[in-house]
Amino acid sequence: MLTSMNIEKLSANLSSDDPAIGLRASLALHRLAERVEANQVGSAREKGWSWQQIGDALGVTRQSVHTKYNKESS
Amino acid sequence: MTTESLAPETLHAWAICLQAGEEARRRGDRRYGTDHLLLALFEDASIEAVLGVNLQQARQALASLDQEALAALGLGSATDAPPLPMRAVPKKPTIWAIMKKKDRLRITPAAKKVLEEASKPNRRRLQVTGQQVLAQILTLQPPDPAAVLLGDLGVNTSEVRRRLDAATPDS
Repeated sequence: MLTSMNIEKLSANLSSDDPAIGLRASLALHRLAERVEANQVGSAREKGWSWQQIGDALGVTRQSVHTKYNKESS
Repeated sequence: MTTESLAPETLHAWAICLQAGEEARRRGDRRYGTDHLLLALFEDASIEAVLGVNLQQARQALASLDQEALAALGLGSATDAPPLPMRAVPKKPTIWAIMKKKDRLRITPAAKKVLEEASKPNRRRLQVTGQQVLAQILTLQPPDPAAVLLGDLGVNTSEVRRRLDAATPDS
């Protein structure tokens, strides 16, 4: 668990231009976004959304969502 | 002399790649890097003994590093999403099984170099031991993700290198 002290210290690190943390943070955001997307696609499918609807919501084609998330594609 | 627990295990390079890919997928990465290769090496049971840490600890360390980095952006520890499910990987994958996977992830250049260097001395380039790959990973320096991970885990790299030398019969 991060305490507010830790967060203050880390924010100070970032404002002191530490690229090591800044670049890692950027990658961590990408990873977080991927996990959120995958979880949301899963729950949309459970709620009966079609691949077309999910693709429309994400702004990509039906095929690309299906290729990425269809469980049988492995 | 090689002790039983440190006996190296031969792995298939493609199996390491697929397993590293699953570790990357679990975290939401679109490429697998040296950090994911390191996680994949735990398939070789001797790696845990050599490093003195286990797979769960390594995964946890990566998650905490992400949390710290996100906190630096002002995102609190409540900002998180659970890891994604991993899929089983064959121990001896065929080229067809790999080509068929449409959603396989790409390797990072650093991870590719690690695998190439690790298998260089081998007659069969696709057969590599976890310890050979680990020896290459130990040569990396931060900000390489695997080097950062080992540092965060508090792994003493020179001590690990000594154990690797002791476990290798002829070198």
